[in-house]
Amino acid sequence: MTRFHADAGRFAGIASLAIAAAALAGFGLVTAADHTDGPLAAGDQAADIADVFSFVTGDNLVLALTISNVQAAPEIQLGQSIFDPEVLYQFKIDGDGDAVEDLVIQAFVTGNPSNQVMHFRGPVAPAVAGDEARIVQGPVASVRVSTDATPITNERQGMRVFAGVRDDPFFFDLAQLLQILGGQASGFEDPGTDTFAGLNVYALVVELPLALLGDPSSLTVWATTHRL
Amino acid sequence: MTDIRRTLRTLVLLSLGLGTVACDDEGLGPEDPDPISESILRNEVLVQVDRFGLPGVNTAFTDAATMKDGYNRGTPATDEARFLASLSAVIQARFGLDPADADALADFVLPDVQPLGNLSGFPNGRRLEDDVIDTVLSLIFGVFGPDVPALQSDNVDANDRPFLTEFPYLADPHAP
Repeated sequence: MTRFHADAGRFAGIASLAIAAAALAGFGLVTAADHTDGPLAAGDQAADIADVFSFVTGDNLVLALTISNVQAAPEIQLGQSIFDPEVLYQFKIDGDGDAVEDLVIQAFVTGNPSNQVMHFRGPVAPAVAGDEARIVQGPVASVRVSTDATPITNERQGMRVFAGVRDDPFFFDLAQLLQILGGQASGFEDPGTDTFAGLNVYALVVELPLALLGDPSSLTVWATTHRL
Repeated sequence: MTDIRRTLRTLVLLSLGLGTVACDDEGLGPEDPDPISESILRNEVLVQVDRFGLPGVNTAFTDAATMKDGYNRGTPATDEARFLASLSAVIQARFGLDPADADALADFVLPDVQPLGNLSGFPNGRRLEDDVIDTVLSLIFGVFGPDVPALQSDNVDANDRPFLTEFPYLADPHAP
């Protein structure tokens, strides 16, 4: 799909910087892969998904999602969870290519910010697919939310679960991008500087056997958050 | 669950509630009750607030705030019908791609899901170590759009802390 254009020459001289800056304006509010968001999600730190990861290790699939909102609260501290008992967190898995979830793994938290337990359910077929959700019946794995550097994990029926504070896994020289946008720089530095170094997120991580899900090459995954 | 076990669990939860309790066990025991009765979410129909598939799609390829909220509440099954044209328009205006290339890029990222594919890493799934920003920049300024080498990498190639080799994989958090 690689393609080049005869008019690429327009990216030359001063015009280059202007067009590049205009182009990068699209990233102007990007503070992570999705660390800032539309007004509804961005005003809702507990439900604002920053990143989603999916990868295979051995015979297992690992799914992870992080929540944070750099604009609202750049410094996520240890000791106080930002998970909200009024938010349902979901991993969604499609196995037949129609972009409709066939399986979900749900997670909801109970307790107060310094003493929460996260309850995972699934993978099971959703009670309702699409932009609405209901808590499903199914296998349950609960784990205390980790609010310090020692991760508390649990495993139930082959699924490992974790919920708690970790280093923000995203890396990106956002600061240099803002310099470019502001006209103080014409490109990225080499080496760049990771704007997200030193920041924390709250994360959900599950690891489960691929045998529960099907042929990995046919799977697609995404994540959603829901409220009352 | 027996009454004695229920009482023990209550005592444990009460003790945990006293504050920061050093805990390096494996979480709760397998005999814990189904917690649904404790959740405010039980029996409710819950409305979507946010969704996430590919990194950067909503932040880079949508513009108006109202469009972002609509996108966050969207579902992959309707992505192409609802958002392909508007994403293409934003890509054209913002990144200078011509309509055919912008359409192709929008089509590439929709529906907004992570396909595990050949498991080789982003955009075939997403490993923690994958440099997704460089990939997205290269898609815009090279693969689909005019080639601009200076904008294809931010030259940050790895996380600030090493990822764990074991579950939960994410690196340890930062203390104040």
